Amino acid sequence: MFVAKRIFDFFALMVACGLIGWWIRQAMRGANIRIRPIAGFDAIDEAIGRATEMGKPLHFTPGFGGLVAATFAGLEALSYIARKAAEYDARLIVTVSQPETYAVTEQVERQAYLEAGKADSFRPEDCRFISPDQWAYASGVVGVLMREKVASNIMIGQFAAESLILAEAGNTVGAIQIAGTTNAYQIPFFVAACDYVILGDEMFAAGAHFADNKAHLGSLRGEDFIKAICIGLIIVGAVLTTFGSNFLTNLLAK
Amino acid sequence: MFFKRSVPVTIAFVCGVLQVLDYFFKWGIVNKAAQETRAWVALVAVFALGLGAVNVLRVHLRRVQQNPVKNATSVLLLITFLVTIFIGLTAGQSSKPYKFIFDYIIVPTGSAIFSLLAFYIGTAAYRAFRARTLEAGILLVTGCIVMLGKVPLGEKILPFAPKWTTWIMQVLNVGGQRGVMIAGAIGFIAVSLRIITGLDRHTYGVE
Repeated sequence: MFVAKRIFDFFALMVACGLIGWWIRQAMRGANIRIRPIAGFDAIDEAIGRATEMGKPLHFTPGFGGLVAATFAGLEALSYIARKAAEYDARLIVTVSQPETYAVTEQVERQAYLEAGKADSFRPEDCRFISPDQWAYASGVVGVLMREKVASNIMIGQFAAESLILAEAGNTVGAIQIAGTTNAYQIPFFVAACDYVILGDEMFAAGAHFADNKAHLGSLRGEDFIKAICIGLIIVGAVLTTFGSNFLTNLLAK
Repeated sequence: MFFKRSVPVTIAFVCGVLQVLDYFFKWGIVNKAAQETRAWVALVAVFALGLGAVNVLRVHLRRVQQNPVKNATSVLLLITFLVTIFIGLTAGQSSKPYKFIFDYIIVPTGSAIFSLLAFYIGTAAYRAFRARTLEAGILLVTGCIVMLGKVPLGEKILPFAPKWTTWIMQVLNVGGQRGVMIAGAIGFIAVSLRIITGLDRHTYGVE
């Protein structure tokens, strides 16, 4: 019945989902869950304010990825950014790489303008589909950053090798830059080139940070418990392996 | 609200659970259904690509209307866009003209953009290596050791550099990256769970 070598994975996933679900339930019932401040998210207001004061556009991109978890985390941030941009009458330009992400992004942005009571201010031509080709997307975004002379450049989502090209272009036009990705290989590039970096899974706190969303707060607490279990397993595994036991390694491979 | 919220959530839940079951279990009907839904993704993407194409046309037509001289790149984009579509539809994707566009325009321009990375790494490294803070200082020292450890001449300048480089890359670097990957994977599970259960309202474009 089970696919070979996926039995432990299945039960691990069930435990993870159970823990996250339980904490979401607790949060919705009113459990007091707080999150630490994340500098990258705090700086988003500063970035929007800067664009408003300078009378220049604000740029956001959810990256090169399709509809994956990191893109959704980026869209959570976009929802807040678009609402604030609408409130302050700052021009927001959003560039998207994948067609399916474009459709969702435009809807998220439109909804945010609607919530801000500025549905008429939404400019569909400022939510731009660039190209599903990685380098065409990179050059398209660089073109937008250069031509529009953006005041702020926010990049939160799934990024690959194009990350540094985008960040350096933003740096060239003197934009304040906030970036976040879960791709461990691209984080160093963002750290080198951007003012603020949202590191790895910090991105998934966007909904909890901006909207104080109970489901998000609960799931973050659940994630913390799973991380604690993972740390425990790593320590136990290291000790067992040091003493010559392969028990945990064999269990994980089942 | 039923069609905007309940229907998409139900579809997402069924499709999401199907994929999970398909990954872990050998159940003929479930495996087949999961495979079928994965094929649907391509169909949905094609529709979305149509939306994207309309957006590209709208954005660049407006730019051309505003100032065709200043926005000459938009004129060029529209011409190549229409020519490529015309050739693709009339001559087919395996035709010579279509291959010419791909091999002699798309591939070289893509490589040119990729090659920019080499220069950008240099400029970004220069800024990152300015030792203004303790962290930047540590980064500078670590970076120098790794650079010396990776070039043949480095061993002559700093004899222990290759050994230290291996340790930095295999212990510190891998440890840090695995931490990010594990935490990211847990985050993926949480986001996926919220989406298929309809708790992530923004995903469906409703508040």
